[in-house]
Amino acid sequence: MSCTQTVRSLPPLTRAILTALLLLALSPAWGATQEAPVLESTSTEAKAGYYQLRWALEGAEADIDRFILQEARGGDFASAEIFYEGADRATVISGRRNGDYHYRVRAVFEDGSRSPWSPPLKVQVHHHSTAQAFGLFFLGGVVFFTTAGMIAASSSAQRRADPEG
Amino acid sequence: MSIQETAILEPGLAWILIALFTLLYVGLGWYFGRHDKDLDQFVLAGRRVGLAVGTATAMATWVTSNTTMMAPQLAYQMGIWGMIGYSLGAVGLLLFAPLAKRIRHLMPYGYTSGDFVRLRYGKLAWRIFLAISLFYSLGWLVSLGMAGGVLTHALSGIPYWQGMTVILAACVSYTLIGGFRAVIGTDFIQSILILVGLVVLAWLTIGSIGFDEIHTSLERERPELLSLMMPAAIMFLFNNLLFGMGEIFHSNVWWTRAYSFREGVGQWAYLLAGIFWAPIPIVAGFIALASPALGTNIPAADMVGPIVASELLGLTGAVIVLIMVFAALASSLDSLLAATAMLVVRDLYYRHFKPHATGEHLRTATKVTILLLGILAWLLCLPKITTLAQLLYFTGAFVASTIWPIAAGLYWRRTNQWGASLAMVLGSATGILAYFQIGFYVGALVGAAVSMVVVLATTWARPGDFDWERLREPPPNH
Repeated sequence: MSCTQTVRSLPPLTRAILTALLLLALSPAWGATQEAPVLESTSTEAKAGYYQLRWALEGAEADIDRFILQEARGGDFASAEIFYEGADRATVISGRRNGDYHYRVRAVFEDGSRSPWSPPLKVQVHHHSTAQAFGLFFLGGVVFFTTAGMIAASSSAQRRADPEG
Repeated sequence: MSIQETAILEPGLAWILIALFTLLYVGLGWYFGRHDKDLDQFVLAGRRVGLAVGTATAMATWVTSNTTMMAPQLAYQMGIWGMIGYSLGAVGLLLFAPLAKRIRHLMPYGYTSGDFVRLRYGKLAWRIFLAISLFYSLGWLVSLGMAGGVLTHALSGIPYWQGMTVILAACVSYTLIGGFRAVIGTDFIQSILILVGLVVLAWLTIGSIGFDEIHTSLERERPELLSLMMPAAIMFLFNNLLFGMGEIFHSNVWWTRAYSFREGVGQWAYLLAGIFWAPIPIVAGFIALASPALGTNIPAADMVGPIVASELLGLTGAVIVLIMVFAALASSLDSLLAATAMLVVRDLYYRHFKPHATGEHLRTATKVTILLLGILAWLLCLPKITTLAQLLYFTGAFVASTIWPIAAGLYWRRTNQWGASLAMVLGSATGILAYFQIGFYVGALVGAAVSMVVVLATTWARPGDFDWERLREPPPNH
């Protein structure tokens, strides 16, 4: 009996499952080295100027030597710079000015081969407005000085009224 | 998979250091607490703590792992204002100084901060206060446990849960063995270790890199960290100050110390502790700003202090940081365990369920509670759901809403129970709203502001006439 005949003789459900598995195995994403790492950020709009990027390449962790993380100001990565190269799986970026920052990451395997780049990730740094910041700063100042003033005045009054207390 | 793959310390060496210092603290705990047999001695060290030990315990407790690890984190995230803002936490200690004197005078037989709120404002405000205080204590406890795990992982690659478990277990053990005297005795030793460690680290950091290089790298790679106009950092300044005030004003950690100090000691102990504490976050935070100059990767913001120190100073730096942060962690964890256990036992167990319990029974209940709190903290630390700063500042809205009910309640006869209750509820609610709507750096600020307005308005609209003698509740017959 040929292989084709054997497959044809199987029940329809089993045949469908086998076909799906075969298609999956033949797809380009199946091989670990063909897969791109997954890159994510704690926020895509960073209002305080800092964010954490994390990446991983599931299924091929044992063979990975290091990761390369690129940063660029444009989405085409024409003027990209290596932001990090090493074995860590995350990085915290802080102190950035307003603007768009684009990232992508790839794995380098122990045999020297490289994974494809991850899909690019855009993080927009957009600081809180200065008006909001100074508004809350002013409010904080009012609360603090009122509290400190109340304690100082009350302690002083207390000392005058009852020197023992 | 761990997010950090590079570590300076060999795990074996890290385990040996942790074991040695655990033995030291447990031994000291046994030594300091060996004569404390009755309840007052076990929970308040006999109310006879002097100025030197009093200052050291206040300072060491406020130098938490949060100071040594979160000050660098905030400097790394918010720059110059981050570390200056963190050092404003000293204001809480300074302003608590006169309050400590007043507390000791008004309540010579008091045990907890809950005692004050119950006697001053009645049961409704007391229960709201207990909910806030216990929630905060648990948050702080979890952040300390997490810091233990993060620290050992950052320095040695030891898995987070293993380091967290061992450090938590060590602190629970010696608090259990020695009680409050062990807590303040070990605080004294730990404060010396922390101060010496920090000075050595800062000196080595400046000597190795230099101010110019640190400044140039920051300007090139992370310019906003040097900016005095960074919006989030501007908002953070008063937020952190008010958060620190809320923590100290309401927490039983600080009230038990006020009760335990000899008459006249509290004010000076808190004042000196505040002055000594203020530069510590600046020194600790400065270390983080050296990170861009070194080109070090920081995988998580709360790991920046240990990573930079060990990267910069190699094995020596890693060993110093481990010893120093372990001391800082232990000095706060033990205080928090002891004070929270006391709040649970006296305000929940004794006042609600066992009003006729003997002193011996309450002493045993305190020990069991310390153990249970340790287990609960361990369970909550395991998933590591957030960073240290975000976890701790989540509690900020709640504690900042207690500032005015506590301060006005200690000085003003006219502040009434409804105003105090409403201030805590509305302050917490609006603070949490601001935390989610704007960021973690405004929760305490908004909570404190709303609470202040409510207390002022209700005191003016419906003035009470409290009799201070009601606070002099006679000591229970244990």
